[in-house]
Amino acid sequence: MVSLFGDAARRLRSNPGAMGAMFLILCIVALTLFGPWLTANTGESLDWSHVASAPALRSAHWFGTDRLGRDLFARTLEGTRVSLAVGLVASAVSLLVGIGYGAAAGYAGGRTDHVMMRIIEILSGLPLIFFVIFLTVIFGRSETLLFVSVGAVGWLTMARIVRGETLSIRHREFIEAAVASGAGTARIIVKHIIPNAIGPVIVYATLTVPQIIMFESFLSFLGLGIQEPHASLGTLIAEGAGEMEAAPWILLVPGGLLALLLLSLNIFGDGLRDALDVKEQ
Amino acid sequence: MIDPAPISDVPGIDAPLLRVRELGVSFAGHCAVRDVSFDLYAGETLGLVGESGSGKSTLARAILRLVKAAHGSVLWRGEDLLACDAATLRAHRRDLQIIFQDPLASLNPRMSVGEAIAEPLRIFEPDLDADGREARVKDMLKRVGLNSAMSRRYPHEFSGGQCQRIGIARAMILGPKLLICDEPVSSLDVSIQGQIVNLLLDLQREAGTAMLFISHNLAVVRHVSHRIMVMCSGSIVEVASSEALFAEPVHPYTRALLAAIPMLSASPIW
Amino acid sequence: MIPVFSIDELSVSFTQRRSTIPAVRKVSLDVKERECIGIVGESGSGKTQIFMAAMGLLDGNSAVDGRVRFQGEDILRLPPPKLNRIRGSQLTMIFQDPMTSLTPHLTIGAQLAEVLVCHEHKSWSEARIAARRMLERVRVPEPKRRLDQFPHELSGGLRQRVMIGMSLMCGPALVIADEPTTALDVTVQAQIMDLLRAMREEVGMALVLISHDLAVVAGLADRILVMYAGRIVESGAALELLQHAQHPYTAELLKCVPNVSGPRLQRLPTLPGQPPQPGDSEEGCAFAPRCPRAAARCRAERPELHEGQSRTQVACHYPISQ
Repeated sequence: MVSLFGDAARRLRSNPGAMGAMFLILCIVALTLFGPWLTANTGESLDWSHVASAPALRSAHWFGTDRLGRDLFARTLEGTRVSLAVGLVASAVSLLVGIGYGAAAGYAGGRTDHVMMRIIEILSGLPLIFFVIFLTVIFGRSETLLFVSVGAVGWLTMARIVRGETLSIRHREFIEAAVASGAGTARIIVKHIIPNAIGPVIVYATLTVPQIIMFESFLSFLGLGIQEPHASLGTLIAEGAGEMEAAPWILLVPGGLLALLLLSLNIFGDGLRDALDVKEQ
Repeated sequence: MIDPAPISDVPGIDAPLLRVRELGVSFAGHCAVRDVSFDLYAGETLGLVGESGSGKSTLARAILRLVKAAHGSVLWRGEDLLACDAATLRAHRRDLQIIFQDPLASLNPRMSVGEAIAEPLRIFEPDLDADGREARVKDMLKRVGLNSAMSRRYPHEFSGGQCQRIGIARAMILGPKLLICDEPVSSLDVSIQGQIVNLLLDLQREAGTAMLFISHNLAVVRHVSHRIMVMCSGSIVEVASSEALFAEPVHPYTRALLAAIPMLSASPIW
Repeated sequence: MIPVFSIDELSVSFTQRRSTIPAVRKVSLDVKERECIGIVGESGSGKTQIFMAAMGLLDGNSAVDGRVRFQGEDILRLPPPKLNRIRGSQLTMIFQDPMTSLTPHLTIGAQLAEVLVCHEHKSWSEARIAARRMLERVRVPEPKRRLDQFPHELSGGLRQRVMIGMSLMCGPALVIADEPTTALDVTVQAQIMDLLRAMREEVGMALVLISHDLAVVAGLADRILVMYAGRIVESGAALELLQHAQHPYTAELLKCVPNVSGPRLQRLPTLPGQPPQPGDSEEGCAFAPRCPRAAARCRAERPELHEGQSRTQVACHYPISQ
């Protein structure tokens, strides 16, 4: 007999859309990891004989090159790698911070919860872009700053979600039973509340990853994030936007890949929610 | 106010295990428990009957400090549970356990049954290693009449009666001195109720556990309890031995309760 | 005389993950005019599903086979508009938990009046007057005030009275009461049973009383049907069945009901094992694993309902005889 997660895994396996999306995501990840071995080109080498050339499977550059003659295939893969890394790391951080904060607030209740929620509301109200610009002016552009500001996006809503779940779980009888058994607050939060709140949290986490990637792309597009010569999907799209009329593929290749990635993550997230959301019968 | 049964002032075997004095609980202005006082002795089963709204479940939770009492004292082996600090209270919880009305709801759906039963061991006997824990859990499963191979399963895979056995296993694994049973068989089929009650009686006989048996089902309480308290609107209106209560009920409310029990037929079958 | 309600070889099964789970297996029963029958069974017996199927209240994942006739008409395959004319007026149902079966955001008066407005096309003002009269008949104190109250403002017992009132608004031929007193306190339970008895006298409807509690059924029913694992195992006159149960399950069930007179017992009587869940294997008699009288024949061959003593029907190879 399987646990509730095993049951969910089975439901997920029978959802063709979600499985297709997962396969696509895995392909993209595999490509970013092993892609560099597929081509002799790197994202940095300049090929002056093929400046801004269109994609052609016969040529040395499958996806074409950009204004500086850099192979778009290699650059796109590198950009995707960076975007994925930022997305996953920042999501993980926001997950940990959000879960801890939300569970503590929800379980504590009363004044503590009140204060903790007001803090979140104040932070939510701040226009994040101005915050990021302000920090960039003070600390200059750096990748650490990028991670910090991107991570700051995700954890607020995660904390709210976890707190909401905690509030509804807190009054269930098995929590009372745990208290009566002598369990302390830490044990109750870690062993009883969080595993039962995890359903919506996992789903939201998978939906946060695309959000974060979008935000990072946006920051980089504005010139606040990843800078030359490094690439992220955002910077590539920014470049491509400038070349739209003359060499549209410079925009379409990274743009297309970003769209594909985000679509797959969203579909997978939906499938995960359907799989985990069934009432325990 | 009903006088509690005679108390011995000399501490010893005859001194009550639990002494509740003037316990009161209020929710949003409504008084759920009004100045309740009673004693409970080691090894006895004290029945607590009353209808919904009588406050009996609230009383049980107030004794264990699972809900906040407005006033009163709960003397457990001399120490006031309502006044002591959280750490001391947690230490006492080892000896004060409870089983609930909805057996499935009282189990963490994401924890295997074995983990649920082992949890009190993890809390109070942290030095016990994994093998030792497993052995105790298997032993307990057998004692409550379940197959010990079931320890890896999850609560939703069991029936109501089996879930209640798991709850009993969890409550009894540390050998508590007092077990509060809050409507333990009310949500179970009639043909299974006897199984669970008999299990509780057996475990009590083996370990000498005192029980506070709460139920709205007078007939079940009658067979299980030595003494019975009748509760109405937050107060205890009558306390008597089981025989006396059913033979000669004194309080009008008790009489009304007894009269309302549906009889199987005009002429008694037994 | 045609029975007011007649079920013929009804089977109900549910589909779950590509497998069908039978809940009710070829059940047949009749309810005559003005008769009260009690249906007794534990979890997994299928007692509620029979009538949910008859009333067309089951979900889409169910499959129903057989015939259900109400006042001679086959209602199982009636299209919803026609069924709706019967449901709520001539064929009504009372449920276990009045809190969840009364609409929380409508006043009591509105819910009672709605029945007349929809079925008898009365005006709202006429219907409201009739609603107040019904509240008086079901002995709700201060009926005028209650008309404008919401369900959550009434106690469980009062809500159940309102439900009973709703079911009687159009003078039905048959009322199905599914565990009407299970969620109520014992003193309130007694009052509701009295009310049902009084209403039967006044209105003269037939009543189907479904319960797991034999004592509740004993107080009201003319005939009792005992169900186990989706089938009827015993059926006969109430007094006869209670005093001389012929099926071992009925006899054991009667023994399991703890009494308030007689000596105090050291151990409560019980049945070993647990009631079978829908979907358990169908070989032999479903009760055989728990039956104290089971023999080899019981495990191999399933007993059919046949006439036992005193015109009681019983499905057992070795029924208890006097």
